[in-house]
Amino acid sequence: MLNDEIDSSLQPLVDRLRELPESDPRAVKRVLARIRHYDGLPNARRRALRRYFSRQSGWWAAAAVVVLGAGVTLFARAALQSSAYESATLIPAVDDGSPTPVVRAADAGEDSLSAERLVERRFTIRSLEARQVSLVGDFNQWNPRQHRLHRDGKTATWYITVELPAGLHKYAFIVNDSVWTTDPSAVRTVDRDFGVTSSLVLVQ
Amino acid sequence: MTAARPRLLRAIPNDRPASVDLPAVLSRETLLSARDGDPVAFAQLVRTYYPRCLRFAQHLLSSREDAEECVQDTFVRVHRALHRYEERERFDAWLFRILANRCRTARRRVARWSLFHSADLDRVTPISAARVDGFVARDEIWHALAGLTEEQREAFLLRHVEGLTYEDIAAVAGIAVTAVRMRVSRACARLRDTITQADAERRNR
Repeated sequence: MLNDEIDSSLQPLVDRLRELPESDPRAVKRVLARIRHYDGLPNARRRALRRYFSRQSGWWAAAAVVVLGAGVTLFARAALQSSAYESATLIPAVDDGSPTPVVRAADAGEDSLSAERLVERRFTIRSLEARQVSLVGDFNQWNPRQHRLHRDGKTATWYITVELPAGLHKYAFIVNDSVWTTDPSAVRTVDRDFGVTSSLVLVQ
Repeated sequence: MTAARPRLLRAIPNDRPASVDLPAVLSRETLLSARDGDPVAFAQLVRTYYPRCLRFAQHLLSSREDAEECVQDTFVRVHRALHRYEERERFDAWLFRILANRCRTARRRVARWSLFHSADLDRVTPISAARVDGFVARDEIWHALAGLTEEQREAFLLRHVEGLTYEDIAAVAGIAVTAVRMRVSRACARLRDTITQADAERRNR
C-alpha cells in the first residue's frame, strides 16, 4: 500500500516548504530585460506568423521531405550515371576494323596542318549508358563539338576515325557533354598546367 | 444536510492534494494574450509564476543564485515556446516541465563544477528567512530534502508543494504515473524517518 499523503508528522515540513521566497521586484524586471535582449518582444504579426508555421509544420515537413527526396534522387541518379559510366568505359573496345567515316583533324580550320602528312587513327570506347560521346584533343583545340563519335548499337561501342598529323597527341573523351574521361586502352598523362588527366596517342 | 463545499475546493481537481493553497493563477484571457504576443500580459505571467518557480528551483538546487539563473532561463524559453502551448495541457504543468529540465541541467553542471571546487559541496543556502520552530529549522529542512534522491525530491515537491496531479508530474518527469506515485511514497517515507530521527535526537539532548 502506497502512503503518499501528508500526515501530521510531515505537515510542518510541507508548510515550511510551501512558503514562497522573498520576492525581489527587480527579479521580474531582470527576466523581462533578458527576454528583450535575447528575443525581443515580438509584435503580434510576427507571433502570428510563427504560430501559423508551427501549426502548418506537418505540411512544411512533408514538403521538405518531398523536395529533399527529389534532390537526393537526382543526385544519386547523376552519381550513379557517372560511376556507371566510369566503370563501363574501363572496358576497352574491340576494334573490328569496320569502315568508318574519316574526319580530318585539319577540318578544325588550321591550314598549316593540311601540308603535313596525315595518318588515320581510330578511337573507340565502350559505354552502355552514354548518350553522346565527343573526342577532344590538342588536334581539335579540345573542342567537344568537332569530333562526335558514332555508336554501334550491337556492341555499344562508340567510334570515330580521325586523320591526325604525325606526332604525340593528347586526347580524351567527353561523355554526355559533361563527363571527362580518358581512354582505358591508352597511356594516360596529367597536364601540369590544368591538372586534368588525358590519354596519349603516338601517330607515326 | 451536507454543507456546500467552498467554491475554491470545488475548483480543485480531485487528484490535487486538498491541503495545497492555490497561489494566484493567471486568468485564461491573460494567458492567451501573452501567447498572442502581448508584452504586458507576458509580464503579468512572469510576475504571477516567478515566486513559485523560484521556490521550486531553490528546493532543488539549494542555491539562490543558481535557482534565479534557472528561473530566468526558463522564462526566456517559455517566451520562445509559448506560441506552441496548447490549452489541453495545464499551463503550470507545462511551465514546470521546462523548469524541471533547466534544473536538471543546472544540477549536472553544478555537480561537474563541484568536483573542482570541493568547498561548494558543503554549501547550505537559506530556503527562506529562518524561523526556528522545532523541526522546521532551515538547515534541518535542507538536510531532510538532501536525504532524498533527486528524482524523489522533484516528485515530492511537484506533488505536495506545487500541487500538480500525478499525470502532470508523469509528463514532467517522463515516466509512468505508477512510478511517480512510488517516488512520492518513498520520499514521504524517507522524510518521516528523518523527522522521527531528528525528534528523537532532540529529546535525548
